[in-house]
Amino acid sequence: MNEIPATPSRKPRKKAEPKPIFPSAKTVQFEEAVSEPQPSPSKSARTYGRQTRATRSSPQKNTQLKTPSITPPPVPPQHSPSRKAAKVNLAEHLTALKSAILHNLQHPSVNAPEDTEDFTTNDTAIESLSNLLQGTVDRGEGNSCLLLGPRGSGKTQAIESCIAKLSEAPIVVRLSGWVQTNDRLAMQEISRQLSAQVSPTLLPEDVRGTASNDLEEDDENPFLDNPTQAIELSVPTAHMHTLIACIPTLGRPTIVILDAFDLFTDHPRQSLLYSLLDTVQSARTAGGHKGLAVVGVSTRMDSIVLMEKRVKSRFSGRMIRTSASKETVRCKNILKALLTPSIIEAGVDEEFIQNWNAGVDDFLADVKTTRILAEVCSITGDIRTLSRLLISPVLNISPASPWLTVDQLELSVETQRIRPEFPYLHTLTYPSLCLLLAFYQAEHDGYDSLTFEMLYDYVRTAIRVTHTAPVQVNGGSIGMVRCSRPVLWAASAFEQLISAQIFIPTAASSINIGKNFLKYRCSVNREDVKKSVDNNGHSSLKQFLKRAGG
Amino acid sequence: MNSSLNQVVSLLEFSPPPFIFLNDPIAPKFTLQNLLPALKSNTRLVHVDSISCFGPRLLYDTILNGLAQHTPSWDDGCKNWSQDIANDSFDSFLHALKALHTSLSENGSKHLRLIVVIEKPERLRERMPDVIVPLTRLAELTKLDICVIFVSEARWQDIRPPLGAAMDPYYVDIPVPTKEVIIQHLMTVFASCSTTSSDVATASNTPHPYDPILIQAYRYFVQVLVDVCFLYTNDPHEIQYITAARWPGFIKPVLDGYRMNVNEGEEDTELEPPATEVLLRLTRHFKPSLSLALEQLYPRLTNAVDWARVNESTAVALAKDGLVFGEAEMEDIEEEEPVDDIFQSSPTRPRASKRIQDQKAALNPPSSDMRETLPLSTSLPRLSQFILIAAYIASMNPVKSDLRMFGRGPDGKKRRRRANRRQMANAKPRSGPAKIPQRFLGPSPFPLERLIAILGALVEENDPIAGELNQLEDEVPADGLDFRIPGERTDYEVTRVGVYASIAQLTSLRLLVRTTATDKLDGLSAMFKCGSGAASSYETILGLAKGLDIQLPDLLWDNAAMS
Repeated sequence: MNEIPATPSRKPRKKAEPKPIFPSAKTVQFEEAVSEPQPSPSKSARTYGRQTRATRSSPQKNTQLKTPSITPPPVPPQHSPSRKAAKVNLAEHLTALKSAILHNLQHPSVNAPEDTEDFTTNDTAIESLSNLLQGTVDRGEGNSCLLLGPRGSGKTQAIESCIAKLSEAPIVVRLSGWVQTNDRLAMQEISRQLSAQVSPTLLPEDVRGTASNDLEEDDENPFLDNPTQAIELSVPTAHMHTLIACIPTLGRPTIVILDAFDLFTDHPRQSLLYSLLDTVQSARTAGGHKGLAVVGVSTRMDSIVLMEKRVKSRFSGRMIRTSASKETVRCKNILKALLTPSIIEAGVDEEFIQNWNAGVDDFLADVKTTRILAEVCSITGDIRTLSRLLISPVLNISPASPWLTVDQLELSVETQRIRPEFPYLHTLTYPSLCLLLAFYQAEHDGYDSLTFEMLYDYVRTAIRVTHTAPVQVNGGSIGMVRCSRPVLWAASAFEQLISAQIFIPTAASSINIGKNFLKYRCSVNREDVKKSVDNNGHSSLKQFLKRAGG
Repeated sequence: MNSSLNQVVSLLEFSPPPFIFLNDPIAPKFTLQNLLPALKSNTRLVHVDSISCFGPRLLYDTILNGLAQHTPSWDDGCKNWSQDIANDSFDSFLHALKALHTSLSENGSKHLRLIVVIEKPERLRERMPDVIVPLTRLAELTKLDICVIFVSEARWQDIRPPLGAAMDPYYVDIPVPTKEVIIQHLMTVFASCSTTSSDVATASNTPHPYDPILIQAYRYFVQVLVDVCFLYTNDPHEIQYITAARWPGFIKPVLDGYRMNVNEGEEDTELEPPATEVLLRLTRHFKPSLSLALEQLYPRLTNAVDWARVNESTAVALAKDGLVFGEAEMEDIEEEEPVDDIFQSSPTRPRASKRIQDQKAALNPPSSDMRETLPLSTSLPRLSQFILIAAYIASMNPVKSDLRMFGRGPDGKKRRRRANRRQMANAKPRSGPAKIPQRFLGPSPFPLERLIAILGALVEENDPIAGELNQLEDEVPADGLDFRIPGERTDYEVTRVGVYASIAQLTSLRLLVRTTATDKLDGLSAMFKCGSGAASSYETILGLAKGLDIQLPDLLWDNAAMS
């Protein structure tokens, strides 16, 4: 972060320049923003459905039209002879900038770079963890600990940074409870990773003995054609304890990381955990034995309770916690670091960067941004969620609108975090909406689960009722458009609703019950049905809704 | 390509998140069709269909082979890319992926991005739920630059494994295709058709419907068609299917006119784009068939080729609308009987029986079950038809109504159902929702004895042959039965072994379904119900009943809802 954020002192110089390479933003300082309370659009302005869609399809236009947010939309560059060149430059610069920011967003760092505060929870965690690992590496201790913390709070980052800082490179075995779903797979993976990091001659005598024994056995096995692979893979579970006990003899300290630790406790008899922790406990520094550290990583705070008694008694009981940052200020710092990458090497103008940084400052200082960030931070501290929210605003940067805008952030919050249950409900086709309305009516009549036959009857009645009156407007009947049964049934209307899980079968389908007699219930709220029909704007559907008791 | 897809593409070019979820409720195939070619440029991409990869091993192998751009060939024993066993567990798969990445980056490209696109991931949830979590964390587990994209109709929260174990995806919502998008898609299809079939056309020197000169006419046609179909479907592929069935027939009069002109010696005439007036006439002529095409092709009641053949316009109809171009002689046009029943083309031999003719007349298309009905009423023997009707009645009527429906007083008169109306009138003001008619709930099971009893009543009332026999034979048979007693003869007939055999046969055809275990002989009697599909559809049974002169609506307890 070697750029200097734009300061007010720079502004006059920028304004004095006749043809800026970058459309200069009207920089609004945070103090001003607070002092003059401009109304930010209320949440009700983003209504469900049609309007949202319109916003989505042309966000930039909308920013121009109805942005009451404090950051004003950027003024398009003045017409000038050098405009074209400037535009080309701008496009290039923006591409470089976008790619750098997106790269940053994919690898967010939990710790804000300019943390002036005293120790955060994560710093404490990193310190104690690195002390522990240092002990294993330097003094050959056997250590075990649990690293607990919510998702995205920097557990993995903490471990990786600790390992990177160690004086001697240890053997690192990484296991994940999601992949190694049983002890056999875990053992295979351990032996694979060990043999990848240790040359076979370094293996101690007894391990080599087992391996060669295995090899002899394998020679008799006609189904294994590759003996070297057989050594790795065919570790019998019975040998597991012996083999794990040999890990400290490997010649280099070893660190075993168990990701999703709680899942390892589900394995039968927890034999892998038992073996690992038993080895840790009985580690001796004498005889050239090296240290072994077992680090369990989990989001479950009660992980220690999940261990069996004999396993727990071998566990050191150390639990290190990480925590997500809950303060909006810290979030902002982190985001600022992410959004202002150093791209000087790419040959970008310094002025461009300064302008951009000023823009980011404005964006982060905006009242609405602050509110959104505070909302997100108060619910989740997951830094990945935060950075995901910024992806789409960053992607939308273009020479026409080279700024991050609050509206886009708001939109992105809606798509990424608080997703509406069925965002596309109002865009369903006419037959599907008919069926949905039939269900609506049936619910009004007191039925909560229906067969297709019944729905069809509702739809048919509704259509027939509209055709009884021979009223014509402009030469056309005002009745509902007819829907034949196959269009409603065999074609995707009904099946689409089922596959979208809007209609959920209440019983498993059986060969003895016809599909049209299976009972379904509707997972869509009555309110949502109403809104979607209103948004769809089909007049005869609105009539149907009215008759259906809406 | 819409803006969301453009965003995905540019995101994948810059620095993609490890896991993207594309939600397209309408046409995921169409989205994929647009997305994949745009990505092929500078990344290693594999497109996996979860329907064909129904097991973990297939999934792993397909991903690896696809990323390595290796096609297993028959000659080398269909070997996979990976020499080791890469498909026995997820670990092996991860190791193979790493090996693949190193081997690929050795071969040149220094920064290699791998992209795995998985279609229909909801299948993974049913088949291999363990795989989803590691798949979403693939980048983290392999520590490679790899991006997994799920493209699904379902929502992520319906696929997501429990406990929040999977990574949160970067959501992308694909908007519903608009009319313009669909029309544009159809135009590109036309362009590709005209390029591929141009060789054939030059060879035979006859114009084909996808001649580039007709593109304006095609655009007009497509606009009309999309206007008709858009209310019902907005899947571009479905509309494309309907277009393919109708367009050749639509433009055929124009092509015929051109061909006639050529035959008459005007060799130098060029095929000209049809005038607006001609197009309007064509549209007026073919517009009814467009909605017909939608109703029959969209639910796939028939296929496009058959439909196009059946719905080809006759010359007479065309001439009526002034659509015969070129100087065609009107006398040449033969008076052809239009084919009235589209399903008549089945190779059954024509049967002269009047009853069957009547049946066919009675069966004018009430619903889609047509295809199932026709073979049913013609192929089943008469007794089996009676059994099916009896089974339908037994399935749909409550048990307590049987006596009222079929019982006779000592005077031989049927007791009419008087209480019915009043009872139904009484039932309404009761609290709670009204009882759903059995017709909507599907058939309920009934014991075999009830079926036989109802069958007896049906035969007695409605089978003239049995009645005639009753009057003819007055002699007492040897085993002491007196057929002069009313109903005795029928009773004798319906308990024959043949009836049971017919029931067994219907069961094996699954027109009846046995709900009790077949191996139990004692205890409760066997329970049956109507099979799913044709046998439990009111229209089908009504057709059968009309053929046998049975007044089915009168025999159903709850016929208020019937129409």
